[in-house]
Amino acid sequence: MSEIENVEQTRNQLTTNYDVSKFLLGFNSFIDGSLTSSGTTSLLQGMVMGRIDSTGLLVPADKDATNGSQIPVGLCVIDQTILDGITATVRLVNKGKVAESKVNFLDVETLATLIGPANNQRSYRDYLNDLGIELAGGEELTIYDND
Amino acid sequence: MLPVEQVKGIFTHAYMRAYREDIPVPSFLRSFFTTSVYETKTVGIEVERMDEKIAVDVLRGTDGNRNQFSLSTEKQWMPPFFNEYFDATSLDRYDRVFGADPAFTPKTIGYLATDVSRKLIELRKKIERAKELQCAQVFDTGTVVLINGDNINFKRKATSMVDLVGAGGYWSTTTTDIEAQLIAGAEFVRNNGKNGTSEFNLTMSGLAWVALKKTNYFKDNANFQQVKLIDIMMPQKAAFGAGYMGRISAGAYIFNIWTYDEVYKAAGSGGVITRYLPSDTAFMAPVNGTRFELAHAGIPAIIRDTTNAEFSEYIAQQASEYWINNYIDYKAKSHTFEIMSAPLAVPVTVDMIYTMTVLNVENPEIG
Repeated sequence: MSEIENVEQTRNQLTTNYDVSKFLLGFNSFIDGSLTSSGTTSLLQGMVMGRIDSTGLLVPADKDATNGSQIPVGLCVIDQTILDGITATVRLVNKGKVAESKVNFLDVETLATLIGPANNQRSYRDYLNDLGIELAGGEELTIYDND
Repeated sequence: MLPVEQVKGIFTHAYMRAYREDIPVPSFLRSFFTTSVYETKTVGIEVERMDEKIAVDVLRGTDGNRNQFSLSTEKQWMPPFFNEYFDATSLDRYDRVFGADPAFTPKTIGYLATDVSRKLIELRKKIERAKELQCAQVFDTGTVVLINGDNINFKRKATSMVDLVGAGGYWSTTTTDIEAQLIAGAEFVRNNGKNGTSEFNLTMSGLAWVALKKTNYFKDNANFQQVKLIDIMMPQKAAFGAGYMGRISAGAYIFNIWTYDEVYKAAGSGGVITRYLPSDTAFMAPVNGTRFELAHAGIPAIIRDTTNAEFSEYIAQQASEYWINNYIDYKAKSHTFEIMSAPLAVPVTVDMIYTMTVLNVENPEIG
């Protein structure tokens, strides 16, 4: 999703940075799920999401969780803010090509973070690959002007 | 009856010649900029800076390297607005043309027009000095200072404005490695401004030039060449305010040296004679590939159209470097002539300027 940020704004000057980079790069499929927010939950495009086994509700993936939500089921498609107590529908991409640079986690996890039992640990990258998500790298050739 | 003192003067005193001081306005710093005009109140640029990456080989049959061009910056500015006016009824000539003078002829109207235009030229010079100062501020700090607005900061990189006390020493020390300092500046422009031109204009004060000539670098290595101004084919050649001192080399780069010591009188009562560029400052810019624009926003002009039955007068934004309005205030009985301009010196290629503090004598003012 495009990002627009005003980095300087005075009476005589306005500087705006534009980022039109894409997250979804093709051959994608999607699933919808529900998320019941405890406190305000801010989901970002590309955030890795898991599902709680017992309730089926989505939550941001957490490597330390033991309720099943440590296993990724997809990535958030758009930025979304869900207020306390609200149950909202969240759309995830669970197949196809996505920009690796846009993948993010709620906490300290990375794509290299290992999860699972001690004798069979696998990384988030492995799990996303299992889903059918192809993480596409790439080089950004442009930079912002001085700001 | 005329007083006798007045009559006596006719026989005892002769006016040899009138002298009206006509002070030229320096244009040297403006000569680095291209003038452009727009009808709009704000002006702006869209910038897509490129990284300078190199391709790497890939295995045949595999995916290639994916590239994207996602980032850009839009910069908008509202240029400062200058409006200088005077009341033409303050001119004696005005009373003779439109008043009781029976010799109301095209000739006397011509005299008035000459008087008015002379005054307007002086007002235009005030604005020209403000433009020259904007250019100086761009080259000095990268920030155009506004009195009645917010300063416009073009965000020059901090590494493009170097105090040489921490980068090899001032030029007042004869052993300073000036060649390394000049190379560092040229390499900043090459690496950040992405400009591969090997020839630069290097502008400094006379004081800095004196110091430079006394250094060991200059005496031993400068390869000073007696290039004449006629050999230089740049806009700076035709501009006023700087002296061409010759050419030196440093590393793989050539520097055309200009000295610039121009001054103006600061606004306000008791205005101090002030330098456009501090005497401790030198800046360099490549001779090719820069894009510095002296952009002019729209000016609110009074348009008179007697063929327009509904609106014989109206205000319209004009794309112009300067615009002159004249109007009569019926209550004040004044006939005002005003000249306006909305200029802004914009360093589009902002990283193609490198500024050095070369002496430890900050001296923005003289007099």
